[in-house]
Amino acid sequence: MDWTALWLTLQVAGCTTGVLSVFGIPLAYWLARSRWRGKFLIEACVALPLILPPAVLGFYLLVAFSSQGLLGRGFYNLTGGTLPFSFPGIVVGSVLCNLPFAVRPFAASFAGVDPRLIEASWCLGVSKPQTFWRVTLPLAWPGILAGVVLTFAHAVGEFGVILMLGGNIAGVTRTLSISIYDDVQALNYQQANQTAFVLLVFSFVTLAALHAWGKRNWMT
Amino acid sequence: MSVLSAQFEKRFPQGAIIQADLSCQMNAFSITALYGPSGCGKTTILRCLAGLERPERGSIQAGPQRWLDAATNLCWTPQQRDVGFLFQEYALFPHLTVEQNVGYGLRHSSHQDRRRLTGEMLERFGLNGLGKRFPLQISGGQKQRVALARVLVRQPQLLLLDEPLSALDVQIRDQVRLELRRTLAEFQIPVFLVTHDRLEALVLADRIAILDQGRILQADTPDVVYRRPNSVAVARMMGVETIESARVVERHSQFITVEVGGMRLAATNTAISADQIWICIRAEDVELGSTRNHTIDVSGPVNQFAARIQGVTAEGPLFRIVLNCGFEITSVLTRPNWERLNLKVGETVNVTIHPSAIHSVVL
Repeated sequence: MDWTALWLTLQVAGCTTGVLSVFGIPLAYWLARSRWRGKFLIEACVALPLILPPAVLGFYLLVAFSSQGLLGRGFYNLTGGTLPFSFPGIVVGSVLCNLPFAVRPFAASFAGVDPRLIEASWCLGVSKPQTFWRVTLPLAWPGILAGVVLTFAHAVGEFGVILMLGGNIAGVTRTLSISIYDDVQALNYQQANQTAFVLLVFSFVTLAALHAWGKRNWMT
Repeated sequence: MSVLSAQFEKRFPQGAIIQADLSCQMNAFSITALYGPSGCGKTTILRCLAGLERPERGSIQAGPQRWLDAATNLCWTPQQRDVGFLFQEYALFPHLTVEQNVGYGLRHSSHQDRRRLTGEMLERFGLNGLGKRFPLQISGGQKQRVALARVLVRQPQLLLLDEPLSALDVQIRDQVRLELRRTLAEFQIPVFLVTHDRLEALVLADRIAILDQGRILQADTPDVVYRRPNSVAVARMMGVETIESARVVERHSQFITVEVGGMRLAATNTAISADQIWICIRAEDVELGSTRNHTIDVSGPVNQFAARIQGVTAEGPLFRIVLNCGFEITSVLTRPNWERLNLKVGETVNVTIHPSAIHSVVL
């Protein structure tokens, strides 16, 4: 078991989940409530990573990360570092790949909150932000928690985009999935099997727990 | 006395237009029912009054406050208007207890005040001992009282009820209907109530506004809209059983003579000058008597004629009898009265209709 890779993987997944919670919740709320006509375009963009090959996303990100690219130049001006083959670089890639796994369940849970409850709160003199904290979020949180768990679990297994953007640098970009790939390339099947099995058990336990919890939840 | 006066027009992108012209006294109890079929725009009117919808035209003046003025782009939010809105399924917060639901809108009161006011309301609405329960754990009637308590604890300026009884079981609806008016009368707040139930409108309201396809057709006391509808559409919506087109053949000072289906009937004189009119006759005004002994002592004209019984429907306490006398006419009798007549379908019966019971409307 490659403990450095495990620690790095947890860091990537943790950062991804954190970033997606902070930006994904407002975006999801807007998607669930907005009546804007062009909304479907944003929805399509959010869903795109579901079907887009990670290699394609990775390729365009590499272009954007280059010193001529917008992201690359901006990041260099801000921090003095470069994005390709770095930890921040693979987090950016992972965030974009996991966008639908966070935003879609968030939006679905916001959309599931009865709009009359929100209007009832307004009519009781409670402001829109207060209503969000006291009614919308408490009622949507089971779905939001499910989205957070799903995002984390999916981010743990991210492979394609990390390989494209980060390559295979131990302690910097070499996550568990990359290490399995690496072990297989080196014909070290026993080591690969160990890591793969750990990921399999982790994924199964996460999903089983999520479904069991979803069943006893009062929302359902 | 300050007055709430609302004239506005709400347009929907699909083309529906909802027009309202309503007024009532502020700081005094009264119930105005908005009655009409589903989809006629009555809930939209309520939502415009609450500030949940924004009309494209018109204004709402609530005493000294101007809630809406489309011309100057002024539109107060629901939070600013201080209205109580009772939603159709009550919209209780499922994650909060009964107590927390009732106290929800008392944000700006101190903790003690909130507890005291909430406690008083629970007491007043017979919800003692239910404070710690969640909405899923209480009955429909209790939910309705929690929703009312939650709205009234804030002492709103205006109370809006959207189908307050439709979510209740039929068995308890009759009782709750009686209680509702008594409860609301304790608060000095004008009430607008939306309903598609005629009985609910007649029993609860001081004034009824009859709506159809986004327009108010008639707004008056229950007695007037029930007995003197101003159009065929209102008569149909108020359930007038017999509506026939008629021709005026004679005009006297007190009454007119109309011809319907080959029959001549005397009707109370109206301001209608047209010769082609509609006549409306309520079934309870159509009196039936055996043809064997008819000695009726009346002064002035009275309509008395024979008719054949076409069909009889038992409706529990009442019997609905469809008669033919050149046109179709419906009568209702209580069960004992019908049994006393001892008549069958196909037999002939003597019909009496007082001229004042024949109401004319324009064609």
